Amino acid sequence: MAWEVLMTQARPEAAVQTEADADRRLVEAFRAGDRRAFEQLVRRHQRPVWAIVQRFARDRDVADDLAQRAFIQALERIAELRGGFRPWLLRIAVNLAKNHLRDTAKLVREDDAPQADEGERPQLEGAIDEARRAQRVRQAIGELSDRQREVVLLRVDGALSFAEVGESLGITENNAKVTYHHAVRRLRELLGGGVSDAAL
Amino acid sequence: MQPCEDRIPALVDFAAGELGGAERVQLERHLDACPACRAEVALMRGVETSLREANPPIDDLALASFPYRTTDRAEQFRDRSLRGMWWSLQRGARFALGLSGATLALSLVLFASTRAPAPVAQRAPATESAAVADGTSTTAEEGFDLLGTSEIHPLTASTDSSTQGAISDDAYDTATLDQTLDSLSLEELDQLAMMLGQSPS
Repeated sequence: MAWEVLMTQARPEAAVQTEADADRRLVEAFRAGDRRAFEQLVRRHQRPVWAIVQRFARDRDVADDLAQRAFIQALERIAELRGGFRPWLLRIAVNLAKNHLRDTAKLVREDDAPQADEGERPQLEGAIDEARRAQRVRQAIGELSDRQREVVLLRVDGALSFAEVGESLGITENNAKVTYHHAVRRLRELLGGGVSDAAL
Repeated sequence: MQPCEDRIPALVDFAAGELGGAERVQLERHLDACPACRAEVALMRGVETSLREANPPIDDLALASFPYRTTDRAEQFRDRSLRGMWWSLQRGARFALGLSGATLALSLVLFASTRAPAPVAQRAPATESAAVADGTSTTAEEGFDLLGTSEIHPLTASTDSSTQGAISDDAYDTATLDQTLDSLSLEELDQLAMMLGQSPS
């Protein structure tokens, strides 16, 4: 174990490979009947998967279903895994989210927004504003090209490095950065005044 | 105002706080002198902040039970896959058995159909010569009994008691089988082998 630690410090790519091997072993252990192996695998990667799918899910149940399906699909297609498990898994999640977005493409109508009694209005107004902002961002992301959308989701929600984004999508790290930049500019146009001000 | 194209990868890293060392120092000097690149960094940070804020926080309560619920579903998938493989194996085994049975029946029929000529053909020269000798013969072919029935054809009938048993059904033993196979042409043997699932010579 100490040797592994030294190796991963010396060569970061070795750390990725070790982690990828560990993930594969967990899948194999589960297929041999070890339930806890799969629970451990899920626990390791559930946050970024959830972050990706819940952006496009109308409610928690849908997000839960999409997230579960990402892991089940990964299990089903494990033979296709070549590099790291997480970039590959998150790409599956992005595709599921994209398909869900396509299948449920519908604007949130005004009368879909939560209605409030007079007394509850102040509390709900904030919630409505938040929901609307989330919806605008969701729509803007939906208007990006497939590749731009993938890069943005893997980077922002999946918290992958650009090297991992490139690995997930089969492009170079540089290409991932340039694509991300173009996507950001496009989102800025689509969101207009809805973008936070950030100082250097 | 467009940023410097060749600086974009570095700007992306800088905006994310992932640029370090000499590269960072160099870019900071450039940013001091380039308002377009400065604006680009601010834009990237602003958009990323907006994206993160627009994504609701993850429900930790839902997440706590997520591994168990997902594993339940994964187990169902795994068990269904194993059952599917098992039924496929069973179907395959049943099909193979059925095919073997049909092949065996067909090969027995073929053996039976090719059995008769060999004993008759082997006896033919003797009976023919005998028939020629006593002047009552026709060609052995006229006595050729394709089905190997027990009926002894008058033209090929032999008075030799040692061969009489060879043409009866009861005498179809291993030696006769070998004789039968020896009498088949290479083409016929190949066809028989293919029916039995073997590769031809």
